[in-house]
Amino acid sequence: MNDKFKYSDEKLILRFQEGDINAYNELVKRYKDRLLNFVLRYFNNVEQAEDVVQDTLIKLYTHASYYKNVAKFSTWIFTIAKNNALTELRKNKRKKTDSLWTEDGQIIDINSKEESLDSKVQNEIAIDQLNKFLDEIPENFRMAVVLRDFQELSYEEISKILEIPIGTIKSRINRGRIQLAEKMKHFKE
Amino acid sequence: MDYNKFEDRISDWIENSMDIKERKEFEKYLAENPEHKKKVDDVRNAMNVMQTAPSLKTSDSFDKKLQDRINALNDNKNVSSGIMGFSRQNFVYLTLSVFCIFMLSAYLIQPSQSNYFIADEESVTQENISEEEDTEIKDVELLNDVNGSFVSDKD
Repeated sequence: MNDKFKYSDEKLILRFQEGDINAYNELVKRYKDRLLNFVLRYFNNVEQAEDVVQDTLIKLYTHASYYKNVAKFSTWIFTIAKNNALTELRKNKRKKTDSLWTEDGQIIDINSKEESLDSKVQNEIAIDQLNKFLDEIPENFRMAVVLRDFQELSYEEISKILEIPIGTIKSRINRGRIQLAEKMKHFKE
Repeated sequence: MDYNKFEDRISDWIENSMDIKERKEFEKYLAENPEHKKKVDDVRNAMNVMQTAPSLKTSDSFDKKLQDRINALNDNKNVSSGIMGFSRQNFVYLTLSVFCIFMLSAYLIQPSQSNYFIADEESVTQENISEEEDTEIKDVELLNDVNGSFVSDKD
């Protein structure tokens, strides 16, 4: 196994700041899918979300020196992604996020979805339905829940990324989960 | 503990982030209200679904596109690091332009060495001479018309 896998994100960004391009490539590998899953909650198509992720990773390339080793790298990169997504949304003059899914519940352009679904989700609720439910809850709840339960970030990190007090974040995540659970319950019934 | 407080603390209880006193209070409420245990189970189930959901993957062309953009950035960087921020080619064009402007200015600012002004001066001199000659001829003609004897006297 390559030595770079031993490095933390923070160590990798420091190495990249010193000119190690392999460290950058490793960060891209670690974060491109995570960022896509996060940014997708702002947009209604994968291509647009991918463009925002690309912009984020380009900013990582050009502005790596801006990172200071006082915050977690994930907090920093998710904040950049969020800001890029919001900028893009403003450009599009979009006021409301739409569903990632088509009207008939089919996922848009997702690789190996069926295989992943069968192998990973041990639940009778289909993944596409879950995303529909997510889109039905208020955006401020949704983004907090996504960062917590999909991205598995800490409350502190989410608080920094969304620039909201930690108490509010906890409350939003709890409310979001309860609303989601309500929708799932009705779906099962 | 009332229902609202119970609802507010569901995530804390599931994530085990309560202190012992709060946990006991929460569990006591659940024991007294078993109908609300279902709500806790539903939230836990929703969390499990999200945490085990497969993550979406970027497209196959993602890495290539990113690499192309990085290469383009690097190319621009190399170009901009030519001479004084200009590419070598643009720097040559700029230098030639400045040189031409300088030469043209120098040429126009020194009228005594300019063919244009020399030619102009010559034409002015010739015009003055011809005007003087014309005046003399006209004077003679006028005198002849007025007093021919004067001309004869002169002759």
